[in-house]
Amino acid sequence: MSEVRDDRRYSKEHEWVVQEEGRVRLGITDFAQNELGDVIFVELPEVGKGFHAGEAIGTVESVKSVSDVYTPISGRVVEKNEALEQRPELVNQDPYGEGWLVKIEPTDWDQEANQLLDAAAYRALIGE
Amino acid sequence: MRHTPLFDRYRSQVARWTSFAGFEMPLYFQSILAEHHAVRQKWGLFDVSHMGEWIIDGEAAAQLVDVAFSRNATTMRTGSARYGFLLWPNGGTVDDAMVYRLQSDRFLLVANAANIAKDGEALRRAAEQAKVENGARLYDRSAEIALLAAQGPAAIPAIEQASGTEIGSIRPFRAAQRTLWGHTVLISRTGYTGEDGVEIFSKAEEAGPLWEKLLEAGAVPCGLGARDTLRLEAALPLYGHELTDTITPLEADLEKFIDWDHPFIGREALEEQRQVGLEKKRIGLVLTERGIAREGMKLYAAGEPAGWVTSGTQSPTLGQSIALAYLQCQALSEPTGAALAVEIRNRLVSAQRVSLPFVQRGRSPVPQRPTTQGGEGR
Repeated sequence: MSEVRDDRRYSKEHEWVVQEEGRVRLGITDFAQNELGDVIFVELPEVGKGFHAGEAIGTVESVKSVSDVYTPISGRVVEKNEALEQRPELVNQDPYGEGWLVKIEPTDWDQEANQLLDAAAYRALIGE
Repeated sequence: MRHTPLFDRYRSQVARWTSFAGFEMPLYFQSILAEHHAVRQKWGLFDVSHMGEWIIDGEAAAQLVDVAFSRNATTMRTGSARYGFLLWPNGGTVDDAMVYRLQSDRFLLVANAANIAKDGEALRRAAEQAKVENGARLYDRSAEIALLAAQGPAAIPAIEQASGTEIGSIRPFRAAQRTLWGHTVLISRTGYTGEDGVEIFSKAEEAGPLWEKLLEAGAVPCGLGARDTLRLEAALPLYGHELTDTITPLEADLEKFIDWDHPFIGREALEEQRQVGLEKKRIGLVLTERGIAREGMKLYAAGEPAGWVTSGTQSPTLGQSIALAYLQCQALSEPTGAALAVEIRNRLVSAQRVSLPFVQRGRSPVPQRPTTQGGEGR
C-alpha cells in the first residue's frame, strides 16, 4: 500500500505538487520511492533555472536504477532541498514531507494544475 | 523464467525480484542497504543456487582440471578450494570459478549461472587437449545441488550455536563435510562479500529446511542487490562486467589467481600479453564530485576518452561513490598523472584512482587515498 495524500495533485510520472504561498513544492510519490528502492543520490537543478512542464528537472538514483524527475508545472526553480545532498534517504522516509525536491515559482499554475490528477485519480493510476 | 529450489520457500517475503541468467531471483527482501549493512555488521543469508556445479571425476580428473583451469590442480590438497579462470586460447575469460578438490580423483567446479554450458564446453576441450580419454568424466549437477551463502562476521558463531555443529575449524579456501540439523552438507569457508562466512552445498531438496534453520539462527535474508554492492566494495569481479570473453585475467589485475607452474589453455596468450604489455587494466575509482558512476559510462583521462566503467555504486559502507573501470594503460603510465573523470549524463565528474579493495572485513583496508598514476595500486 502506498500513501496518497488528498492535499496535492499528481502527475502520471509519479510526481506530486502542492501550492503554498504562491509557490509550488514538488516531490516524488510514496509509490515512486517504493518502486525505486533505497535512494542513494538525488541530482537537482540550479536555483534560478526555468523549465517548461514536462521537462526533466533532475534525477533520483537508487542502488539499482536511475530515474528522471519531470516537472508537471512550468516555472523557475526558487529553492531546492539541500538536505538531500547528505541524506538522499529522506526521499524514501518522508516522500511528501522532508523528502521534497524543489520549489518552483509557477508561470501558469491554474491551467497546468487542472490537467494533473487528483488523489482519487492517482490512486486509480497506481491500482489502489 | 527458471527458479531455484528455494523459490517457494521465500517467494512471499521478497520485496523485489530481478532476472539473472534466466533465473527469477530476489533483488531484495527488505532493502538493499539494510541487507548490505546486515552482512557487514552481523550476517546475512543468500540463495545462490542458480550457480552451476560441474563434477569432474576419474583417475585423470586432476589432469583435465589442470589444463582447463588457471590454477594448478595437481598440487591441490583434498578439501581445498582455489579461485581461478577458464580461458579461451586467446586469453579471454570463459568464466571465473571456484574449484574444489573433493577427493584425489574428484573435483567440483562452481560456475556462474550464465556460463554453465560454456564451461562444460571448455572442460570438454580441455579433456581433448589433455588426452584423458576415458580417464575423466564430466557431470553437470547444477539442478541437483543447492548453494546457500551465509556471510558476515557473526555467521560462523551463530551457525555453530544454533546447530551444535563445529564449523569454525574449516579454514579459508577449505571445504569439509558436516551435518547441519541432520542434513549432510559440504561447507566451504568462502564467499563473495569481503566478509568471513561460509557457503553451504546441499541436495536441492534439503535447501528449504536449511534456509529456515539459518533464518531461525538469526540470518537476515539477502538478495542479489546486496550481493552486488558487497562484492563491489570488496572489488571482486562479476563475470559479464569486469571479466568477459574479451578481457583477460591480467587485464582484470587478477594475476595472483594464475599459477604459472603448469600448462593450461590460454597460457601462451597470457604470456605474450605479459611480454607485450597490457592495453587496458582494471582500476578502482572514487568519485570526488557528486554523482554515481554506472556500467558503460565513459572514463576520461586528461579530457580524452580512456576507458569505461564496469560497475559503480554509492558504497553503503564508505559513503563514497565508487566504481570499477577499465583504463587504457597509455593513460595509466602518463608520468604527471592524468586527471580522471567519468561522463555522467553529458557531464564530466572528477574521479580519483584508489587501491583495491574499497572495503575488506567491514572497513576500508587503508585510508582511501589516490594511488600514484602509473603505480601498481596495491
